Amino acid sequence: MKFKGMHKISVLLIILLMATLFTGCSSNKAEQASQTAPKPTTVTVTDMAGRDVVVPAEVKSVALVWGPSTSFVLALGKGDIITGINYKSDFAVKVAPNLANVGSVGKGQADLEALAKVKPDVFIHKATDTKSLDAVQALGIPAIGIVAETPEDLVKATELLGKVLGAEQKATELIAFYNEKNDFAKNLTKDIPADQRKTVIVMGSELGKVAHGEMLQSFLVETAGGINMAKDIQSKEIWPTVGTEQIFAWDPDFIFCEDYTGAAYTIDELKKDSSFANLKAIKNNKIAYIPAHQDLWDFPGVQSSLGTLWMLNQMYPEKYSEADFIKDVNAFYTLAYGTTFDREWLGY
Amino acid sequence: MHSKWLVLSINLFLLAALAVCVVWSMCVGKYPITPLESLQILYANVFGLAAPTDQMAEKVVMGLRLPRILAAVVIGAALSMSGATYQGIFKNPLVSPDFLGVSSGACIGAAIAILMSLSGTGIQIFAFCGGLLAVTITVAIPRLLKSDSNIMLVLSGIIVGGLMGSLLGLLKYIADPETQLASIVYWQMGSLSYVNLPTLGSVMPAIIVSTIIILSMSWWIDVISLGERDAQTLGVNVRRTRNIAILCSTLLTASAVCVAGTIGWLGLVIPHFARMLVGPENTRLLPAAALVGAIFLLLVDTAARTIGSSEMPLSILTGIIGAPFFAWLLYRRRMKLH
Repeated sequence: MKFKGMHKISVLLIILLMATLFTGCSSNKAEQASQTAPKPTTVTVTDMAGRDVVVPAEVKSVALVWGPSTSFVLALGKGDIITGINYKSDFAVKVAPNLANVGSVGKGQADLEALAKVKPDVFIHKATDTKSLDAVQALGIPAIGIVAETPEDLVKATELLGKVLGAEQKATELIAFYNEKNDFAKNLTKDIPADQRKTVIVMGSELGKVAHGEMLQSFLVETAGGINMAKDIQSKEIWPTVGTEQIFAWDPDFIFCEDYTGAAYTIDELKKDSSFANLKAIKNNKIAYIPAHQDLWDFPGVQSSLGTLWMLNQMYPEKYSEADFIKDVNAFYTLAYGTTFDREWLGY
Repeated sequence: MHSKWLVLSINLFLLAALAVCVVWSMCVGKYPITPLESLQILYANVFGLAAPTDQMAEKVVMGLRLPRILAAVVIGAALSMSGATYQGIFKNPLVSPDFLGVSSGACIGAAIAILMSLSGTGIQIFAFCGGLLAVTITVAIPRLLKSDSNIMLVLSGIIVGGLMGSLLGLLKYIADPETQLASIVYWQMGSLSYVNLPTLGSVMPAIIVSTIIILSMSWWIDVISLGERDAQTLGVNVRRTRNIAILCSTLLTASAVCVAGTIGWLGLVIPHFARMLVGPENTRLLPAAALVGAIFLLLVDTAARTIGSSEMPLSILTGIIGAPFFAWLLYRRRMKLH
């Protein structure tokens, strides 16, 4: 028994000894590196979860498991360094053809072992899921948390990712475009009196689910000079259900719908529905899907300025013509991807 | 009646099978490491030697696979023992942590703690209190109705389970969708994806103490399951024994929920399977159930993390395997009776 105890203590001592040796070695290495290499090989950034993360100065690969983060990386022109992705849209594969061969490293949450296999230089994820971020960081993969719920946050996220991915110039240009177009829309509609502004609801994947005032879709509507009828709905829920009766009571000028593949209704069905036919928006054919066939115009990301411009053109075509809108769309894609896309393909 | 030696050899066989499963599970996963490398890494880390392979492989084996395997073994064993104890104490083969509402009660406790922004120990204490409250209500309903039939307890479990389900829905409704909701859903679904050694370590004292108490009380539980009057003549304090057993098995379930969320079916089915192997006496049943539960959850979790491009929640797999298996057990029992 006594011998056993001794044995345990000696094993513990050996482990301790090894540990000190190892740390000794690594700190020596670090010192040597700092003496010989003039260029820093890593950069420390503070992510939007408030964590200090050390990332390589030159990031050569990035992995994502959260949809909105993809839009940012693609727009920054870094689709070609994505080595793990949760969902590959046609749009993503078109702007970054290498994605056709890139596999999944988890859906919504990181599949840690799959991620370890891909071993990206950075992992970009939503800042609220600190559990994933910490677990990935523990693997030695720098994990960057971003928030993209408000316009201010999505600008910050673009800036941060520009810095991390070595695309600061591009980030600045994209943010400039985003701010310029938002200001343009606001200025263009600022003199419209409140009673002449178009009233709008943005409807989710089910009838009666609407975007409340805290949601990005509401910001798009208001920036484009519209009034979101559902802006005062108090709910922590995303797409709260207000019911169809409330929508009839609001009877908005415009109904903008989310273009989900699994949506519980289609606009054609609503147009044929005898009770919905009485709605102003349906009578006047002012109901449409927010273009999201390819690029997601109402999703967090700098491309959402196109969502604003699209609404602006829908609501006030006399102030902002279709030709102007097409010009802006092309300007955005030229800036972001160096090319323009077919109108039909983008779905607007 | 199974002989003592047969039971011993079955337990030894189960132990060996568990060891094989652990080693096998250590060697499989999405990260490409050869089995030999995995074992080398494990060996090197256990004995404090320098690992021979790359750092990432070491992190995968020691930081991801090892904690998950340990957690699957511990939680599988805890849930099965908890289920076996409930079945013995209530003299009712149809009860289990989930059917008595303990799991959902624990889940609600955890959800309340999450809404109050508590963490770690706070969540554990709330989970335990939630589980205990749920089982107390479940046991109280048949007593109030002055009925001690098996069905009444099961029905009471359904009532409490339903109530807890709605309460959980309410908590999810008022939770912050971005932060709190995700963690509540994670608890509800059951997963070992993000288990780490500190989390597992924090519930280990509770699990070890309850296991020791339950194992040392297993003879008394046997006596109680013979009938209360017999137990009293044999000098067993029925009420105290029962309360301690309920407390311990609730603690086991709550600890399991704290680490992995709610994992269905295991606590119901595994004790039945173990009973087929070693017979109904709890002195024999509890160790065997613990071993079978450990093997079962380890296999299921290994499947969850290796099959498919993204991980599957554990309850899906335990349900798909557990439900038909339970039906088969019932069928087999009926055939025996005839």
